[in-house]
Amino acid sequence: MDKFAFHLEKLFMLDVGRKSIRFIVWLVVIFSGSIFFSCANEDCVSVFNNDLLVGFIKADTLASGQIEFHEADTLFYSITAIGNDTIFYDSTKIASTFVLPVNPADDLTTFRFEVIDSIRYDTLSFDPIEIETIYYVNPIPHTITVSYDRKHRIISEDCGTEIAYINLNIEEISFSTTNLAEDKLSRFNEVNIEVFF
Amino acid sequence: MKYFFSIFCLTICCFNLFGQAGRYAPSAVKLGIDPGTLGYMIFSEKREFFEVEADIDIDRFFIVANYGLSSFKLNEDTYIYENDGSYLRLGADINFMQKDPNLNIAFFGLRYATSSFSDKLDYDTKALIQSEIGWPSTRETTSNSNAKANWYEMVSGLKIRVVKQLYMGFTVRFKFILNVKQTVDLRPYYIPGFGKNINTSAFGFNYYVSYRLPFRKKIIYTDENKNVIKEKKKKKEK
Repeated sequence: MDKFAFHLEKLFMLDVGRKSIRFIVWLVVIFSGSIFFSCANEDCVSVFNNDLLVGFIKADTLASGQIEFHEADTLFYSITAIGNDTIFYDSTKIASTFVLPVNPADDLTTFRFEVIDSIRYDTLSFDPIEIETIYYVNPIPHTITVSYDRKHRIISEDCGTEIAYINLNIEEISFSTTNLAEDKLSRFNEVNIEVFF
Repeated sequence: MKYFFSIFCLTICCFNLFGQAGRYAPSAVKLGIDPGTLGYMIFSEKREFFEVEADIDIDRFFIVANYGLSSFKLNEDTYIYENDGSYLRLGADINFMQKDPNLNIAFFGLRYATSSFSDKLDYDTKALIQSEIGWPSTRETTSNSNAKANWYEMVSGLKIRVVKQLYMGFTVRFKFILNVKQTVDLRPYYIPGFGKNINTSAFGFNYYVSYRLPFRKKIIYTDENKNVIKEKKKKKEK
């Protein structure tokens, strides 16, 4: 250590002593450790997404008088959002929970659920069998309008940005009985809004 | 900035008035600048800063203040992040080389730091980490106009006398208990003086080139000096 101090003094013409050399060594060790520690902390992980999960639940009254709830497969002619041309669900997709993406550029999204009143099957030919399906859609669609707070952050320079959607609130809903089950949108959610019928 | 100089001037005046050449009377003010400013200006496209440091000695202790201006920018394909602000650190150091005749300093200290800044994120909704957004891509902007942050620091370092009153040295910082306030919808990615806002603690490093402005001779209280002073006192009493 003394030799090292001597060479350092000679090299930089500084009057640093043995004590300060020890101090420098300690600082270098601490600083090297700090660089390692600070570099090992950036992960491209986000638990948030913009998927609003709307679950349809049917309540059945049992013979004993108890009410039993179970997920109900539901079919809509279409599910869309105002301001978006995409049809998220059409009449070919039956589900009990619908995954509906909220608008990442706004704090409010309205979804339109077009309800099928009845279905008619017309046989066009017998050989080969050709059937035309005609849907009679209710002229008044159901709607759900939700508001939410968007919290932005950069995860890291390489990972990019994320938005967390929190404080979800039902602003307007045309379904008669509903429940807000979870007020933030996350990959680990089962359902955000429960619709009972 | 005006508070920074006012506090310093007041400190000097107080010690001059009340500490008349005693052991705890300050002997000099050191004013320094971080030369890393130049390095970042030349080599870094992301970060620019300007930092000054001032300290005043009280026996083996130093009252230290840092003031800095900072600018940070990320210009990626899918987003642009801009951050501008200033920071102030106030604290005290203890010198472990108080008997060094060349007034070299090896120190450990504590700081309270505060920062005020504004930042802005301009991003493409399609390029969010949640890639399947189900909506057409748009360009959005969110910002904080008057965000604040504070934290504490444990610091350690050296200041070596190079020539006459010119000192060079460095400070290693452990910054902790970060508290960010007055932000709305954007979590600041960068905090002036603290660095990236990923964890509530971080490490930092600064170089300093300082000039010592003495206003009285520094008495170094070595064991020999103590005896001399005691003898002088005894003589005076006789």
